[in-house]
Amino acid sequence: MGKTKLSKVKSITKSKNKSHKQKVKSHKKNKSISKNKHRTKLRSESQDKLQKPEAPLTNYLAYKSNYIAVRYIFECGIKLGLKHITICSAAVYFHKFYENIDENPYDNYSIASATLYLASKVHDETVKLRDLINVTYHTLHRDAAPIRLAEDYWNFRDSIVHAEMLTMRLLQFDTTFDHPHNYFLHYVQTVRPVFYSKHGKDIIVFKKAYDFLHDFYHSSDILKYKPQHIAIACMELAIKVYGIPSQIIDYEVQPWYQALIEDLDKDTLWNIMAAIMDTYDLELTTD
Amino acid sequence: MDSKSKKYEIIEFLGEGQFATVYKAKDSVTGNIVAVKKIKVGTVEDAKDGVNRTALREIKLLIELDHENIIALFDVFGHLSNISLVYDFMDTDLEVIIKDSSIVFTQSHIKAYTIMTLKGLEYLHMNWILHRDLKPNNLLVNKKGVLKIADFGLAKRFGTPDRLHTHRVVTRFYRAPELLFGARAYGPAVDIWAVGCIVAELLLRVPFLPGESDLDQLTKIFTTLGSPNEETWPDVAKLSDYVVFKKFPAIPLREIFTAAPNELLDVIGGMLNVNPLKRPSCSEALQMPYFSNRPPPSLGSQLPLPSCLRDSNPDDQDTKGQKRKFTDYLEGGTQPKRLVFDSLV
Repeated sequence: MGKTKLSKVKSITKSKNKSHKQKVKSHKKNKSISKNKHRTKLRSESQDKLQKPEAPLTNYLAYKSNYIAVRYIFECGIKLGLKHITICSAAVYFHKFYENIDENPYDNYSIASATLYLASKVHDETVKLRDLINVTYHTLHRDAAPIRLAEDYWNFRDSIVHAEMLTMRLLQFDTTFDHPHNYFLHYVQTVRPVFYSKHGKDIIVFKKAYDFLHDFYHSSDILKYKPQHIAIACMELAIKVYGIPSQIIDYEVQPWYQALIEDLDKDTLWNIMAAIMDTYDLELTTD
Repeated sequence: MDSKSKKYEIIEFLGEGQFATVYKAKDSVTGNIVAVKKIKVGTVEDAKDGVNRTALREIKLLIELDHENIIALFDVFGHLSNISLVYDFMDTDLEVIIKDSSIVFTQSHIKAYTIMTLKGLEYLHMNWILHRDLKPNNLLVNKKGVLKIADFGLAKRFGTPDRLHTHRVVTRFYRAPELLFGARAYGPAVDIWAVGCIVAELLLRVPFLPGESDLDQLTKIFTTLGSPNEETWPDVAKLSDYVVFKKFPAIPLREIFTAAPNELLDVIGGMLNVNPLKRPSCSEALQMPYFSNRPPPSLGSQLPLPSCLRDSNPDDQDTKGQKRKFTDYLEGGTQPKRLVFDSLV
């Protein structure tokens, strides 16, 4: 009986992503196992824990750092269903905002919400201000009651609109930014045949490189380097972490990236890679 | 940054529209005459929606563009919750020139205007931008006879295959048939159609296809240019708002534009092909024989000026009495001007 149910679920979730399907599958399996073999409660609980990826919810109000604020941008952006590039633009606006002011009398999270709203407008992914306020408010106050259409709400709205205008002015109205994504995907596409590995190692490496790229948006160093260089550095760092997926590439002869860009020297590359790695230390220093 | 609003001395009020007020102003540092468009805040629905989207699009796109035939955005400044955009000052627009009955167009004039429009548009398309609102009113002309494309409030980047656009764009008279049929994945051909309509309007001196409603617009297009079928426009029936039309034969362009040379008819015929895939690109259009044949296009100084500008000394910038419209903000006209941000799936 379980099987027929499963197939039903499968057919319904066909269009959805694979991981969800797998989750459903493994969850069902788990249940049947614990039923049949009478495992101890403790054991099954610990198994359930293993199933769920550990992602503790951040209590944003406990922090006041730009690193955590960018995490907030990412969390709200994903909840609002925005595209990666839109969220990344918001993070860039956020860093540019703080690059241009000396002291910080502003509330991090208001500015973060405003940059997200601005980015959604710039990328034609219109988010209703009401939705944005609901999402940003409840990400900050996770267990709060829905915000009522009353004075608080209107104040919230005003503060976001004002922060948006302030952001625009600090950006000097230039909302364009050359994202490393524009190059990253082309580079990956170009080197894929060379890095091809039949065990799928190349995919793992590229995926990790993409993760590095997105994590790097947590650091204001994203503004410091050329987008092409950042794209290469992410790939190179992933290769350094996992080992090179291809036998053909030989650094002694010529580093692989020199075929893609000319103006990247080894020092710059290592500096960017160090900056990417430093991003992961930012979290520790925020407590 | 607030000091910038003092940097520009307002000379005169030029016009007011739904979204903006336009002033002629003088840059107190360089002495240049500029147009300052002050975006209004506080219209009822937009009241607290923050930065005006139309202004944002315009700033975002114009900041990256630099071409002789595209309006230049010199500066943007914010004052309180207002945004103001500072442009090239342009004396008039093509609509005023077309409607001025004291002006007689020669073949050279028409050629010059067409070339300038196409060059500006070619540059836009090369930068993957669709204008989506070309009409004579948005083609500004200055006293030196230089034409510049303005109003990027509906402009959008194109080229991402999975990105759909809304079909509710372009002022109706200049709207391509695929838009009227509800196409969501269109391309530069919609701008080319508009240019075709504008060239025809230069010849006729009245709008070429003045439809009264969307359906009437289609009727006008097909009664003039012939209704499409599977042969002239394959897969047309698959468009979402497709309506079957009676079979109309095409009226030969020669009968409509009696005074036009054959090469110009080829240009118009190409641009006004009902099948968007068969319309030429800007670069292809500019290669057509019409543009290299005699007579050569007029030099800027030989191009006509509307009567209200004509008698004044070109150095005298304080010409009074010029009634010009600045972009379509001021039009408040009959067409729905605002992009409807319906959810694009």
